[in-house]
Amino acid sequence: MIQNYDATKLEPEILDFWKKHGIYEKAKEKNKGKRKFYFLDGPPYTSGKVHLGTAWNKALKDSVLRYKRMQGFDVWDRAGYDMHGMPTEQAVEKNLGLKHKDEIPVYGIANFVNACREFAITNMLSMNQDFKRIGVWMDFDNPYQSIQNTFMEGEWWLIKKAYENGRLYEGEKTMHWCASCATSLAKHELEYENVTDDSIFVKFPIKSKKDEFLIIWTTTPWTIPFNLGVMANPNLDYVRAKVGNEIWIVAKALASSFISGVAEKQFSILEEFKGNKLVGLEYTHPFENETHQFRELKKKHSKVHTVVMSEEYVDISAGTGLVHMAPGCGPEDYEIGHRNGIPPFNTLTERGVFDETSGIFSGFVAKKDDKKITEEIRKKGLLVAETKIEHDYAHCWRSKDPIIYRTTTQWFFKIEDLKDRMRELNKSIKWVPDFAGSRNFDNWIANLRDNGITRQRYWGTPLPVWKCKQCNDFVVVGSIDELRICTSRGLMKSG
Amino acid sequence: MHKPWIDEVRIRCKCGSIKERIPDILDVWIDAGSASWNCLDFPRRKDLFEKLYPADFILEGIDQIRGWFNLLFVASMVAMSNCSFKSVYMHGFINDAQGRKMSKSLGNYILPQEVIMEYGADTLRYYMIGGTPPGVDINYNFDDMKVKHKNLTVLWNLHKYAIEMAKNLKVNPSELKIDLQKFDVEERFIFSKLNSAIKMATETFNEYRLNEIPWQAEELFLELSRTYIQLTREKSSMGSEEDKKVVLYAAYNVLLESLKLFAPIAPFITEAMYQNLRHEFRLKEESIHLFGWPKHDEGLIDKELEESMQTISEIMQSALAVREKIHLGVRWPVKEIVIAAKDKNIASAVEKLRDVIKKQINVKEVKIVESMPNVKVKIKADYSKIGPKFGDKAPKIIAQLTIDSPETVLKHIQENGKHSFNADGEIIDIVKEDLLVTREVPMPYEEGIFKHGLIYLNREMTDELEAEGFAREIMRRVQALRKKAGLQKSDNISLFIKTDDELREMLKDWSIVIKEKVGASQFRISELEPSRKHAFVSNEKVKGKEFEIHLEKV
Repeated sequence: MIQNYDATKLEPEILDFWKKHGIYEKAKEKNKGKRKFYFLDGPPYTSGKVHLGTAWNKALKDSVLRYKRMQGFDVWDRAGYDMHGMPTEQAVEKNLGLKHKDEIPVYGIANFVNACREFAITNMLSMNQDFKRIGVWMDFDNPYQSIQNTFMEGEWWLIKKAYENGRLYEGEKTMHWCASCATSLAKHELEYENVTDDSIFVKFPIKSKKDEFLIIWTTTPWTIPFNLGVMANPNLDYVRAKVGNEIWIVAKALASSFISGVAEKQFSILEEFKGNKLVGLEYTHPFENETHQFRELKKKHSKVHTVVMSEEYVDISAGTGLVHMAPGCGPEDYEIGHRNGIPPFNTLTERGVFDETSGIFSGFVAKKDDKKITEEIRKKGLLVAETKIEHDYAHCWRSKDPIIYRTTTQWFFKIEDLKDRMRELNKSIKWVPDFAGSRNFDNWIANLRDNGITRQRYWGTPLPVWKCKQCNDFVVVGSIDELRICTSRGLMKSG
Repeated sequence: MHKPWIDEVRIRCKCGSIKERIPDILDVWIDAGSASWNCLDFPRRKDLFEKLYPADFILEGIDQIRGWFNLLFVASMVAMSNCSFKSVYMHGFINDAQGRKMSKSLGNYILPQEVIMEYGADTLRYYMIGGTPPGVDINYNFDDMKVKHKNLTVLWNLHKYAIEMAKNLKVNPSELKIDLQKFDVEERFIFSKLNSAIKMATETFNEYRLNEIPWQAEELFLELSRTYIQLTREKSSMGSEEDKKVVLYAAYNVLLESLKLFAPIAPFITEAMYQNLRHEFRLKEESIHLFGWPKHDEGLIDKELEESMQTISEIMQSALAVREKIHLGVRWPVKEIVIAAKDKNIASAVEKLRDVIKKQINVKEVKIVESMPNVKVKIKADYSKIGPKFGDKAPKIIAQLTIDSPETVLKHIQENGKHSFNADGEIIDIVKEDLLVTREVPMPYEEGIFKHGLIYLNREMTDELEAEGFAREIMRRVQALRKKAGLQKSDNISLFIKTDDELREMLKDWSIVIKEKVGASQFRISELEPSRKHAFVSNEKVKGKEFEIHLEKV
């Protein structure tokens, strides 16, 4: 008599049956040499836990693989794991009782890296078991692992190819930065949260005039010390307004809401003009005397601390119509600065602290010490008003902290110019559902920016670039064999 | 190759100095982005890459639009100016039943292990794979999942049924060859469903519309269980050897093909069921998962028949509901059912499957009309609603409703959602909820409703019908006692029924049928005690009539 359906009893028995009789292997053997079906497993991170979402994902994959096998396809079904990176470093740091990245060299990088490797492998083996338990038939005995030499070489190959195709470059870029993770963040690692911040209105004295000011508005007071320009929209209307004994320049449409509303002052309009009339107008930075770097910058780049034009990033939705520009503190600022020959300027350390060259701001913490910096502006008599603003601000998807910006040297893939070709090729991909490709993915590609590819951490595939400190010549190595050749021609210890 | 060892490698520079490695590591996204060739050990190995690249299929969640899908494409563009994948299935996220993200702090976090320990991995897979369309989040609902678990029990029981039946018939269904001529409409129906399902599932899988597969497989095996097995209940228990073989053949083959269709979704239960069938019927293939995917036979697909069966299924459901309402079990034959429907398709379905209806709901005659004459519809104002709603206008409204014709009022409500009239210069809107509607159905009919119309069961009980009802009920009780007595189907019995004169009279015309159906070589009904003691006795009561069954093996 056959028993009633009891899944919890039946399933382990079936697992044993499959194992004992090698059914999975037989299923694969049957189709050897026939029509190929290359399934590529998106490698889950070796976090150790198979969550419900991961289980769902693998079950969906498994249903396709089983179908294709029954249809007689020679199915390539190698499982994969994503094993390097921050989450592992953070978990191992925690396990070892290390509070910050700086403590790792003290503990010993080799020890630390070995601990990371062990952590990742242990988790991989555990996840293999979990996947097998839900009946997934994939090659879990020989998964592809990002920590293996063969794999890392495959990445070196990519870097070398990028270099050969003119798509690898070292650049100084203003990057989204997470102070607590002490690493730069790519666009896809940002999470936008709706938060309330302090915003300030600041007077910038115009050099050629007495008591005449550009009024700028910012939601990030900590970026004022790095200000190198003011953006105005050439097509908007601006006014010179008499406010008491002073003359303020603001956008016409925002004049009354700002001057009467926010600053609570009476005013009268002296003159009206288009934004393009402001181009080149020189102003005095509030901390000109305290920041020695400004002198050098102004000598080399004539447009520093002048008004520049931007149609794209200046509007009348909020503020004053004049946008403070710090090319070292944001990708848009960087872009307009770049266009005007104004380089990024940013003295924050990895931990988001103003370094020892930052004069009165040395030791201040970016974002956290916004109030202190505002106070310095107020002391100069240049603070017009403070308001609270609710807006979407980018946060690090790991630490959940609000991001800051740093200007660092990173290596990049040049890919922006590939956008059009990629959008074209995307049309030939079969997406289920269709809108995932025609809408979601297409939108993403259309907004593609060059990818930063390097990180300043320990557990990962090393960047295969060797550079000479003396002459700055560098070599990009594409494989271990190539490295051997380079070093044998050269000298020194090999790893 | 990792840090810190790789950092010890230095290269002599031609300027005389030394090149040192830039201390950075690659972003993990580069790791993942290189997977399309790294999965094939390229460039260490070239053969797999040449044979397989680019990837035919990838499947990940919506967050990978800016993650892995992005880097996969960028990496292959940078290295080779091509795209590394051809097709993608993109799924959504898992939320709780209220659509909230799962988090430990909310306390709505579910671990797969928890589900597996209680319901098994098959239920988890079956529920989740079919749980939501691609690109859409799934709101994890335990109640829905439990329904899937129940369905697996239904599936499981199907193979128990087939094995039991084969045992009784002493036949190996895998060796049966049945001529299509021998198929009744029920067999043609289930084989049509089977082949439709195979055809559809193949197309669906090829298009990667994965979430639809569980529903297609489920519909097939539920139909097998709830429709086919039900329709052939009598044929399989009381029919001829030939008839029973046909049912076994159909049940076994449709089940086996269903298992193949369902195997990619629920690999454990399908394997376990197959192993039982394999053991029982000495099947060759070692595992359900080693079979080829079924191929459909276009010639066996009859869409019209499928639709007709669906229609009369609904009619029969309704009829059975009416029987229950008037406490008239299905074993009591009913003189007539009238089906009132305007749709010509309903009429033709009923025509085609008239015999099925008769058999299933035990009616002698099936009539179809466009609408039932003499049904009186009466409407009355619902005072409990009208009063509070209209206040002092209520009396006027109530009066108006006695004047307006019920047909008109209901027609307006059906077409416009309301019935409006003028009361003292004000427009009054009456909706369905304001009314009490009664339908007076002419005797002897009892009304029931189905999707496309109404049915009327004639509850008039003639002597003939009653006699048949008793006879069938007695036969059923005798069979039950036989089974309890442990008798085999081939055993003959001596049967004696002690009962009053009235029942004896009723059963007069049925004695031959009863004898045959219950395998009695001797059969007597009497008021008096039986002449000798029989081995098995039971006391029965049917519709208030008491009688005793005495039987023993001959």
